[in-house]
Amino acid sequence: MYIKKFNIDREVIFYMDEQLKEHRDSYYDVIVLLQDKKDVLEALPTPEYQNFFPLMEGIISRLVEECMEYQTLGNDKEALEIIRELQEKIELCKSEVENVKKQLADDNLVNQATYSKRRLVFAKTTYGETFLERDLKDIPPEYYGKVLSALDFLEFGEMKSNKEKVRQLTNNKKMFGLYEIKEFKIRLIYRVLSNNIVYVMQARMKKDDNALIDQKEVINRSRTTSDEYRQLKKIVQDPTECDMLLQENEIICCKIRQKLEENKRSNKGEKK
Amino acid sequence: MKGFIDQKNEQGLRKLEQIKLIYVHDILDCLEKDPSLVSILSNNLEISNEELYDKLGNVEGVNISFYDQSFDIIKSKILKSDKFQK
Repeated sequence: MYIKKFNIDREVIFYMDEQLKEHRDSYYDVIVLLQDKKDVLEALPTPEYQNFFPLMEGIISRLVEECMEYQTLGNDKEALEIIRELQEKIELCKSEVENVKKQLADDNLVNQATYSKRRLVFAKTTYGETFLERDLKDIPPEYYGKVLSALDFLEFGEMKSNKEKVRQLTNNKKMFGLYEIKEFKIRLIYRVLSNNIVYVMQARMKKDDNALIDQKEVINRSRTTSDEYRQLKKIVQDPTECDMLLQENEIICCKIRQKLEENKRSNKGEKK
Repeated sequence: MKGFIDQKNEQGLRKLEQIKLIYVHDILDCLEKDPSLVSILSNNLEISNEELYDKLGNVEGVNISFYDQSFDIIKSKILKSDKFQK
């Protein structure tokens, strides 16, 4: 009976494997048809998903194969036009892969450590409030001093020699690109926007008893803020828009610091 | 020429939507056969069941990777399921 069951399941898996292969082949069918660069980029796999690199490799190699086939047709006008179109798509896909690889390299701690001062940009909720301010409601005021220290470290800290204080979150692939600053029980989660600009996503208390809940909270916040993060990545490329963003966040940062200082002072049980 | 390019692009967009719908069809097929996969899938994707059904119910604006990943999760769960281990 088990053997029969095993065989049935094997058939199911084989069938699903084939389906998945077909689904993935269809990425290519779409890319080949799309002409608008923006549409092509939107139809490509997103870097947050685990299959990004293998899927992109698959798409590129199929585009290259197709291109080579057309090249065998010689100087046929129509074929040359298709070759040009395919080459443009190959370049577009390659540059997308390179961008993601570059982002991974730029984000690393060694690179962050080269800046003596980092500029903070705060993640916002759909109501325009910062997530950090919202998170403070769940943190006892006696820990506000620690939140302040974590913000100070993120802004001015020497990251290279403080590996126990700052770390990249690598224990789950859904935490792609996330970093954590540790101040006693306080955790400040951020990701890199560009060079010396960081995106402050979350402040929370570590829950000693359940590491999985800790992890889930971080992943959830990463998902909630991913759209804004993507928009901001574009904004920081434009010097004027970037300047405005930084000015706005300078004010937000002052307000947050003021709030933390006031509540810290008014609380006698502050954690040393 | 421009008309032809636009037409081809439109075809591509329609094809993209069709593929997403095929994914959705296959995913829903699996969920119907084994309803316990709903919570496994939503937990794995770190979204609520409502959000999962929203994305399965309306493919517009959802990146194809979401469905690709979902199908991958379902496949690996079936592969790791107890009965398969036996």
